[in-house]
Amino acid sequence: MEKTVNKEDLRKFYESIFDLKPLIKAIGLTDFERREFGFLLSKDVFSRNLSFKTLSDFKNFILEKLPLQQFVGAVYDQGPTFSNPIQKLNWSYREFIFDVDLDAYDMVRHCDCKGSKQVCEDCWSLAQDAALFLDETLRIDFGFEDLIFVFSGRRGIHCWVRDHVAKELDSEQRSAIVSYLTMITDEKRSQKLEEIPKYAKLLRDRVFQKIAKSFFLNVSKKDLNLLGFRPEEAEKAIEFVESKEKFSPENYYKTIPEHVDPKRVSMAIVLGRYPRLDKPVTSDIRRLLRIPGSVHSATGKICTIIDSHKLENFSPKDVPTIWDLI
Amino acid sequence: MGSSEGVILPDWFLLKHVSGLDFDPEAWVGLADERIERFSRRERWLLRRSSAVFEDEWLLLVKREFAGHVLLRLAVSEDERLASWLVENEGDLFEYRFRAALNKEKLQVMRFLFGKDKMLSINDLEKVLGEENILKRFGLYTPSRVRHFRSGIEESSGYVAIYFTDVPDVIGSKRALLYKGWAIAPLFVFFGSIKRKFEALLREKIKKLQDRVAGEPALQEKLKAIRDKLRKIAKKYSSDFGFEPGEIPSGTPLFNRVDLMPPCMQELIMILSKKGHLEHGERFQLGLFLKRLGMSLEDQLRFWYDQAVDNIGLNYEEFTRKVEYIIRHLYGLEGSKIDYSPPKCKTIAESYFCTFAHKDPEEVEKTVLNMIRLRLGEEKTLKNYENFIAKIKSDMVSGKPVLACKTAFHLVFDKPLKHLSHPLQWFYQAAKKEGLLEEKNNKEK
Repeated sequence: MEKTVNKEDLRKFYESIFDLKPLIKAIGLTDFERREFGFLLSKDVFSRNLSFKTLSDFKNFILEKLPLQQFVGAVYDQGPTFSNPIQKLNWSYREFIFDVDLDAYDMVRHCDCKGSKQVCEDCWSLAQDAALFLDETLRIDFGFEDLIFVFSGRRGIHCWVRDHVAKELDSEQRSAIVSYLTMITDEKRSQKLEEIPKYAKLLRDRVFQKIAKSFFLNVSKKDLNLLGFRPEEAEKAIEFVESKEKFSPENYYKTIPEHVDPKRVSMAIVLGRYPRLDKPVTSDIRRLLRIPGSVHSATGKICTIIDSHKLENFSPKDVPTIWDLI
Repeated sequence: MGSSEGVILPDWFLLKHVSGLDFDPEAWVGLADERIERFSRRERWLLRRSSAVFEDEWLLLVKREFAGHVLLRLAVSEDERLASWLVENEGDLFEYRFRAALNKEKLQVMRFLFGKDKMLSINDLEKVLGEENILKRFGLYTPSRVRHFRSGIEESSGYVAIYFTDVPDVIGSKRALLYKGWAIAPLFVFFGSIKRKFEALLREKIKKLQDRVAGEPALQEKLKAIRDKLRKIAKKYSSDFGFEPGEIPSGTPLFNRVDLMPPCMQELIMILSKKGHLEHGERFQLGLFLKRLGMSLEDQLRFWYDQAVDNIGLNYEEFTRKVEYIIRHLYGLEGSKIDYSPPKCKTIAESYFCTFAHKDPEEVEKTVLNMIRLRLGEEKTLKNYENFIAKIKSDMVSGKPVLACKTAFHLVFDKPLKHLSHPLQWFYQAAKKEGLLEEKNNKEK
């Protein structure tokens, strides 16, 4: 039977292990008292519209209520309360958030990891690809500088963009950015593909560099045969990509044999490896997101900030659970 | 004629400050009237000085133009629907003038609209970023001058850079090179964003006038006649597109007649029922359309609740609490409190969801067959079906979504459509064809 997080585990964790530093790193301390928080207090009771004057008040609340899950939201002109909920308040700002959840890759995950909890190294590499792609796109295309990546505690990665201009983006602007980054819609059903962009050249080149390289490093020869590669060509293509430390769009075109339809290959690349972002999480400016440093009660794992230089080496397997810590 | 915020603006640009314009509502009524008439005839006119016009004459002409416009701003300031009508008409006129303007003027207007720090020439961008040869580095061709043959106006196909926060539509549709936060593209790519920015600023200016008008009963009285006239014209204009709430015949709720809706709305409803949610812009497009078909706030909340899968685990009250703000926003009851009108076909094709602008031409036949099935209860090929489909596809390929839509109407309803510029116009004509408007027409007679 699967282990579940109970109140006693949480009490021990919150009393001596729970660290507020990851939360402070994500949201800072400015305007803390105007920030919305939400908690899953028990299996059926979710409470939001909460704010705290100080970090001590926040910590005392946690110790008293022992919440199963903790979430943080936007900053308003006043601290939200039950009698003064966010609907009545003026929104001030919110970090710009992206959510990559492996759930969205279920139709292309070739391992047996389906469902909510399972993650293996193969499918985790999809989340890593997405995070690396996102990191480069947000920095180079949009000029953002202050990014942190967080392991959600289950099967996803959150990206927090903390630049001043990003925090103040409205819903329309956030939606536009996530649309810019989206090439697959309806991921869980029809998986409709957009054409690889013609004018957003940096994004286009990144598809042929990062995503294509990852595709060839993960694809089976059999799958390449299905795309029209002859057996010896498949082997050669994979070897060629493996030999290139820096893979370029020019390298990509050299990888495709002349008789193979390049559009078919590019579609397979996008479908198989391109980032799948949870749009509503990004565009909803009032969304609550799991607090870094808190426990994911479904897995017991800690929601952990990932060193952006070590994204490629990060594995959820190395993340401790509440039971490892208490 | 002076400058605004350090940018020298052309005389046709109605958001500039005009000096020497003494406020005189009585004298300006005729000018406002004239402007209303021109808008009601859908007339678009240029304000360009020819060499034969003396300076004094020209200044007078410009002042008359501004006076009529300013009085209209005041007249609509207390009525959201009239304000929307004016913003839309002035927006169209602005677009017409902007497209016809010299490149230098275009850049001046853009600097004013976006701010000098957020709209840069490529040279300035290179200075700001401390980099060289940006266009060349990214394989973009260098500016060349082209001729606009129809109007004889010279335009430039040169590139400009606008900061990404101001052009979400261009970013979302990936129509520009995006580099360090700057959307870099030929100027024409930004036309839609420029018009929207103009309309947003005009809306803001009109809103600011509310208090002034409210505090001056004498002025209110003077504006009444213009407002009454505007209401009539706006109503006529609106009914050309479809219905005003009061005009919807009682009996069958029209918003339930999905079969009479244009393909874009039919498809949005289909997507919504399949996926349980729509993108922000699509929700806006469909929500406003249903509102103008007479769907009440209550009905609309119920509609989205029934369709949403995101509401699993929520009861109606909880759902209402969560989404009520968004829906109330559509009805002009929250946020900026603007009683938005549904977007026009052109705007939909540019920024929302248009079947014929955004779908693959090879997939569109499925949509058309589905429309026929909805209308006739079965999928069948109608008279000249193949020809119609071929025409629809060819219009789509040549970038003429509205023409394709008109052809689809002709096929599905066996009736050619003379004009089509708004989704409500489709619905209105379809309802007419169905005989749903007879009662109303008889009453009028």
